[in-house]
Amino acid sequence: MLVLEKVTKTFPVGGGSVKVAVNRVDLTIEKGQFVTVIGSNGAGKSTLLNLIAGRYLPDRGRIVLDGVDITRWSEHRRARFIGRVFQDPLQGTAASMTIEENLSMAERRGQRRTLARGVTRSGRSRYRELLAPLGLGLESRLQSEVGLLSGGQRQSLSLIMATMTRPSLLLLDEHTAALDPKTAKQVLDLTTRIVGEYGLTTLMVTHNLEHALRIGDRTIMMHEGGVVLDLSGPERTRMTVQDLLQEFTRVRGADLLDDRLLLT
Amino acid sequence: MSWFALSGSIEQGLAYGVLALGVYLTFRVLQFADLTVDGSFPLGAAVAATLIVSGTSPIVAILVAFFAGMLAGAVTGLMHTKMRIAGLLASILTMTALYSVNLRIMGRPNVPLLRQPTLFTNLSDWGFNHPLQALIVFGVLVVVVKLGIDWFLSTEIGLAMRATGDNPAMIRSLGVDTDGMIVLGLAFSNGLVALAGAMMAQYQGYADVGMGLGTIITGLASVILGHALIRPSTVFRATLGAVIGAVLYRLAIYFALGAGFAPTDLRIVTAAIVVLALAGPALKERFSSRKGPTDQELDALTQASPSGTVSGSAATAGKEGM
Repeated sequence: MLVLEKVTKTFPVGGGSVKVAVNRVDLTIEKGQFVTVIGSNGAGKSTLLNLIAGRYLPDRGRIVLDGVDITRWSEHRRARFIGRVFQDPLQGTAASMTIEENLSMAERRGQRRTLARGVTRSGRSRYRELLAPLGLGLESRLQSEVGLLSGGQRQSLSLIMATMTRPSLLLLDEHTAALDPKTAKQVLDLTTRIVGEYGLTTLMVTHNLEHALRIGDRTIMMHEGGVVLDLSGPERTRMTVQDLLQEFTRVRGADLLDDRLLLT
Repeated sequence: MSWFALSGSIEQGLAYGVLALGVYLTFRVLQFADLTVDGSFPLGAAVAATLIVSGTSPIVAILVAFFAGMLAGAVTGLMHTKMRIAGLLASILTMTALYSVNLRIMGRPNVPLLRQPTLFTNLSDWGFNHPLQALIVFGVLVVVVKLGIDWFLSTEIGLAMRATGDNPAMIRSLGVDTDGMIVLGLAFSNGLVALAGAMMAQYQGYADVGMGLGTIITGLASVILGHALIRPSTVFRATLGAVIGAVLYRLAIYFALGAGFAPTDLRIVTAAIVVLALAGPALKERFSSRKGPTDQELDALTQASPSGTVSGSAATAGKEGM
């Protein structure tokens, strides 16, 4: 279970003033819940994920994961409990290293690393089993450099790497936005399959309103650093993309027309 | 040009192979241009020579030199990671400070090792007295160090170090303290460079405060030259390339001297080689006749990813990253 209490983050914007990126957010996510996060550019979605992951430390507030206060923990210390997939497929993997090397690093997530051999024989057979269901043929290319893979393949690999140790929390930051529609769908299907199979507590940022409503079991909308809409249960089931757009209009006002949400 | 001089070049090349392996660790693995080596090479020489003159066994002196080098590298690493000083500048600061440190250690600018026991005289005393003694000693040393690095970079810690150079955000998200990896890598690298310095001091019979000048360029030239010949697709090939590059670099200097270059011109020749090698990709692009994809290629590319909307929105989303 993830609990945010009055989490706040500001950034200096020069001239002595600050931008409030995340404004006193209170949020409780139950164990096993799959939450989708929507909101226009600059609403604070990415900052919120970065605060939870520990890339930024909050100015105020508390972050508690499974009963442990991790508010001041460094990013690499939290990583033991938090898996993450970034928007850019290049960000989630080490390009100059092989598929098996990448997987072996992910398998040691948060554990003490030793002078033991990184890629072992037993590791290889585990990796093959993990990769085979993807249907991408990666299981027979364990010694290929990741840099040779396509964006979709790299993102699928990133997803496996983020989830293979079954972390307490999975953060997905628009992880299909940089892929073409067909690949995006494949990666999204893989996401729901893995999250369902492992019962992972998940927070997924998306710009696709249909995905936001159809996937997972709760949807929150952010605006100007705060959570302005929190949907779950029958209320969410009844919600249509049109309704959501109207909600957007309500909170955003007239500048909706130039928003790329309309494109999706 | 005699066999004697030629074998001397190969001996030096192998000794510089250890240096090149150290530079490989920072420059290629950590993607960190580390000028500390210009100070840690003479540091190793100074420590070893001073200890030998004061009666310490050469082997112990070499080990102490290695640890002194590690310390120097760690200082650069800590300045860079904990004080957020740019890597290049942090290493220049350490290098500058080491000049004073080296003078302090030696107490004068030059410590001769004539009539002192060295690793080489020790080996002779123990019955290993062969005309190719130095060649064999340096050869064994560089092979051991090369295989040691190959092994290390395949361990869990070694993989994390490689990922720190490749994609720090990713390996941090897997729970690795990248600051620690940078400090460790710099320490290890400068330990090796100091080891090379300690060996060179005993080989040439003195330590000199000025002997570090251009060490980084020698190391870079070796790594770049080696990797131009042996594509560094695996760690094994990359370290092999660094060693072979170091030997070839020494041989190139040997032949450059034979061709009439004055020894004082060598540094500009080396600098020019490194500039050309580093500028290679940019020059290729500039003078290449191809200026971009053809119409056919563009058609193929646009058919492969039909949705301009999606990639367009991804491009704008990237700017949000706050």
